[in-house]
Amino acid sequence: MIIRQLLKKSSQKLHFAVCLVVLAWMLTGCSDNLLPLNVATKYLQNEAAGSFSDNYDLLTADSQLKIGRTEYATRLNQARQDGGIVSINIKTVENNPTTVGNRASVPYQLEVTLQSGQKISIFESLVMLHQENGWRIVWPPQ
Amino acid sequence: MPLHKLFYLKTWLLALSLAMLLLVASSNASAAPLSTPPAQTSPETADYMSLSLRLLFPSLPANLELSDITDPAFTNFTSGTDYLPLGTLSNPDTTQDGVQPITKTLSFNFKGGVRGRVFSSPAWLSVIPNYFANRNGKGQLDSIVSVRQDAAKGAGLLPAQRNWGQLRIVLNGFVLDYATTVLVGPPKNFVGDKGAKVFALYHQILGQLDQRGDLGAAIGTLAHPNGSQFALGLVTDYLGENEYNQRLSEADFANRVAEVLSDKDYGGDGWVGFTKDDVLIGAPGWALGHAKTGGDSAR
Repeated sequence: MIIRQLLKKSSQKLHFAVCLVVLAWMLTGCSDNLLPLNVATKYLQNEAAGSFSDNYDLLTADSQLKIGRTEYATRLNQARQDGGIVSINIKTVENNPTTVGNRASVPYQLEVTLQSGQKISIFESLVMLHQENGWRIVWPPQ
Repeated sequence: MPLHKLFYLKTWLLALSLAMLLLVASSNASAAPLSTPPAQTSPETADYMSLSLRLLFPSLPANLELSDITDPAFTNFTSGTDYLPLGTLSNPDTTQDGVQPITKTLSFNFKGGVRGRVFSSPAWLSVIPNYFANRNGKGQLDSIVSVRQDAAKGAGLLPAQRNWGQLRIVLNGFVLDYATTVLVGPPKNFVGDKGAKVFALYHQILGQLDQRGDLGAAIGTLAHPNGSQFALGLVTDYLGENEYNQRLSEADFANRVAEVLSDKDYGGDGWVGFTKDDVLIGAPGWALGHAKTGGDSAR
């Protein structure tokens, strides 16, 4: 009798633990769990490689509502050509982004090579929001 | 109730009624001119206000009266945001850059009656014309979008970054936004790899903000939606201008930028941001701060 009750209790505990795990998975299952630094680095690597379509997935939901994937990729490719940019080299992505609540800012330094051969250093920052699917980038940034 | 108290009450009520009557009369008087349509000088180009009024009040909102124009045909029109890159200005000190143009033409082809206006910000972005009307039939508008680089006019381009601007086009009440960028190179004297120095100074600014509980301003405020990038632009300007001719210490500079971002007076000198003296020694004129007003508020 006592053994049966103990078994029943432990079974209830097991059910409870399973429910907790499922709930936690449901709450965080859609988030990619990447830190702002990781998302920013991925975004900048894609930008350097000209993979603008991949970067579209890293934009906030609001930013994606403003502009379609094709338009975003086409315009940014065009911007690169119009700006006479031959290549982009990531020099620094700040290791300690500024995070306040669900907002973050990730500063970085790029070296841009122009068609003229001139190399220019630029210092910029990505503004990020934490959404259901994780940290995402606000575009346009200002 | 004693008689004299009743008298005072009546007098008070009478005064209150008079004040209310005056208030109603004055609000009617101020509303009256708004109901009168503005004079039209050139209906084909700009029929919102007379030229003299437009020169006096360039920021007055456009009249969106649509009864005198035919229905438009927006075949491919979708509201949202588009992106218009304006090119590269490899050296912020030059007024003309031989590599890429910093002027673009936005062309609109209209079918039917369209009345519109183009707004641009910040000050370095200019659009001409910014008023237009196509009363009926087909019409084409070519708007010239250009970048003003004259710092004395408050243009405010920041070095060593992509400067973002916005064009808002309002057509018969529909809104279309264009994000624009100009890639600006670092100042002429900004030579060698100064990355470490830029980020060190940037962290001093963050420290000032964090100390006062205003770190959020480094991410963004209404006035500076990308606070960190704005700060980085000022840092490269400061370093490129030889720390404003070696006359503004790094600590003071960091304090000024933190004040600009938070819109608060940290120094207790009754001034927010760069002072007139700072501008005289090399800080950009467009970055001139302002006197502290009643209560500071982080926006």
